[in-house]
Amino acid sequence: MIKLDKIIKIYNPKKANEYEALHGVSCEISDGEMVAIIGKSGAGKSTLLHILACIDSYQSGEYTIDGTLVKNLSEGQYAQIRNEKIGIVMQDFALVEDFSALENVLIPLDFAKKKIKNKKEKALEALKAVGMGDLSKKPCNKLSGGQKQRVAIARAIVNEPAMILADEPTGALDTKTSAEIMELFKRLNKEGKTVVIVTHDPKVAEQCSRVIEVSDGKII
Amino acid sequence: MIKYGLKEFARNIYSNIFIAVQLAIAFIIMTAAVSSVLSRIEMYTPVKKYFPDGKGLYICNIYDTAPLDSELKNIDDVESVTSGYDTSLYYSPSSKDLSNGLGDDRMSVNALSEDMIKSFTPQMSSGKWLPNASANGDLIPAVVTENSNYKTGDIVTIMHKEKVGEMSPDDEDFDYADPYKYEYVKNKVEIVGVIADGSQLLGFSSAYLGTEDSIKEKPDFRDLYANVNKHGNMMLIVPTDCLKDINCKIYPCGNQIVTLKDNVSNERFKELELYLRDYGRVFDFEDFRENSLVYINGQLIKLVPMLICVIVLVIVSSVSASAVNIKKRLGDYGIYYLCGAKWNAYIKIDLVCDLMTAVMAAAIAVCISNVLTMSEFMGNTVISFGWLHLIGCVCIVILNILISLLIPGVIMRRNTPNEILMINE
Repeated sequence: MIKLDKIIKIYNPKKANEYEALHGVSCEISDGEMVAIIGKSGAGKSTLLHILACIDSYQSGEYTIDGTLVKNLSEGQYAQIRNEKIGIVMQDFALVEDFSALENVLIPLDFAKKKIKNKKEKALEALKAVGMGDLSKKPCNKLSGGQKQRVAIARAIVNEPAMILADEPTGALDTKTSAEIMELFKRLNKEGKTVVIVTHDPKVAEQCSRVIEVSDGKII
Repeated sequence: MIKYGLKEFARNIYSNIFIAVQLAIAFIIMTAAVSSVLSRIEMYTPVKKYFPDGKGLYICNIYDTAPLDSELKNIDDVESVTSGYDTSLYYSPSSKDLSNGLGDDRMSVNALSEDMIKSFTPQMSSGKWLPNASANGDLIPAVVTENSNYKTGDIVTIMHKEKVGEMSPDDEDFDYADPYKYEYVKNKVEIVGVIADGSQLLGFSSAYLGTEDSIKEKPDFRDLYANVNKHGNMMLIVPTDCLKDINCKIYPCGNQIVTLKDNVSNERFKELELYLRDYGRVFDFEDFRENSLVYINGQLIKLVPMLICVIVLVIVSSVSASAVNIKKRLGDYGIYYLCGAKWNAYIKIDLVCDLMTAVMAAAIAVCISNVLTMSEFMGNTVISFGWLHLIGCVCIVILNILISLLIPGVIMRRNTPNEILMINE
C-alpha cells in the first residue's frame, strides 16, 4: 500500500526561481491496483511519479510504502527501495544503448544489495516474460521502440518488485506498439503487481482501474 | 561495480588509448626526472663521508710523483688519506695466461680499498661488483671494464717483479741505475663481473680513464667518479686487501683525498696546501662541499620545468578523460541509479576505468622505454626504476583519477539525480 499525505514539492527552494510543483498532494494506492495519473503538461504528474519512485525528494508531507515512512532515509536505503520494491519504466526507455538486452536487464540484479544467484537465468526469464527471449543478445541500439520498451519493462520486473511505475511508457511509440505495451502492463497487474502509469493519453488512462487527475500541482 | 568499470573502459577504448598515451609520456618524464635526481643523490651520498665538516684537501689528477698514502699519513695533522690505486701488477689484454710473458700491450692492475668498494656499486653488465671477502682460495676477485677482452668467469694471470737479490757488476744485464735481480711472480685473478659502459666508477677520475680531458674549474663530488665507456682505458680492478700477501707496489692514482685533523691551524693548513700543490691540483674541502651542494640544488631546480610539464600533461589528460562522452556517461549513471545504484557508484565505476587506463599507460610506457633503450637514442644513459619512481608514477595516477572525477562530481553535486535523468531524456 502506498500512501501520500499532503506532499509539498518545491523546486529551487529559497532561490529567485523557486517553484512549488505539488501543493499538499494526498492519495492512496492499494496493492494490486492499476492506476493512471493524468494531467496536462506541467501539471505535476511526473513530479509525483518521481517522488513515488524515490528519485526525487519532497519538502513536507509523508510518503509511506507498506507503512514505512520514506523520508530522511540514507542513500543506501533509497537505493534498496528502488532496487527491490519499485520497477521504473521511462518514456525514453532509459536503456544503456551499447549494452545488449540481457545486459540491461542484469543491471538491477548487479546493483542489488543482497547476493543473487543465477542472475543470467533470472534476466532471461524476465525477457521471455515480455516476449524478448530470442533477442537477449541484441544490442539495444539495434532494437525498435517497442522492443526497447519491452526490455525496459523486463528490467523493471527482474527483481520482482511489488510496484511498477511508468512515466509516459507509450509516449514514444506508435498506436499498435502502445497497445502491445499496455497489454503487458495489464498482464503484470493481473499477476499481482501494483502498476502506476503517468500519461497524458486518455486511451491509456481508460485501460486502468483508477484514474488520478493532477492539475496545477493538486489532485482534483 | 568492477564489471561496469571494465565495460565503461571498453566502450570508450579509443579515447582511453589516447589518454593512456598521454599518461605514458607523463610516466616516462616522471621516471626520467626521479632517475635524474636519484643519480645525483646516489653519487653524492657515498662520498659525503670523505668530506666531513672539518678541514681537508682534495688533490685532482695527481702526478706520478705523488706521495703514497702511507707517506702522507705520516705527516703531522693528516687524519686519513684515500684514493684509487695503480699497482706494479700487470696483465695482458691479449693473453690470459701470459704464456709468452708480458708483451707491449701490458696493462697495470688497478686497486680499490675495501671502504671505497663498499661505498659505491657501479652498474654491472654481467656478474657482480667486487666482494669484500678475501680471495677465493688462490684466486683474487677482479672486475673489468667492458672494453677489455675478458668476461665474467675468466681466470686471468697477473704478473709483477720481485727483487730476489743484487746483480754482480760482471753480469751481462748489470745496470748501475737498477743493480738488482728480479724474478717475475705470477698470480691469478678471477673475473667476477664486468662494469657496464656508461657506468660511474668511484675512486678514479675520468681524466685517468681517458674519458674526459680535464677537470672542472670548480670540482665537485662528480669528479670523484670516472665515466666508464668503451673509448676510455680498459681497467682490471682488484681489492687492495687481496694484495697484502703480494710483494707489489700500490700507488695512488687519479684523485687523492686528504682529511686533516680537527685542530689544524689555518697556517698549517696553508703549509700543507702548498706542499701538496707539487703533486696535483689542490682544492679545499669547504669549496668542494659548497660546489657539490650548488650543483645538486641547481639540478633540482632544473627539474621543476619537467615536473610542471608532467602536471600539465596529467591535467590535460584527466580533463580529456572526464570530458569525453560526459553526457552519455552521466546518462548511464542515471540509469544505474534508477535500477538501485547509489549516486556515488559513478566514483567506483570511474575508478576502475581510470585504473585500467593507468595500467594500459604503464604498459605503453614500458614498451616506449624498451624501444628507446634498444635504440641509440638513449646513448649511455641508464634509467633505473625503483620505489621512488613507482611512487612518482602512482602520484600521477592519483592526480589523474582525482581530476577526472572532478567534472562529473561537480555536475552531480549541482544537480539532483532526477535533473541528471531529465538532462539526458
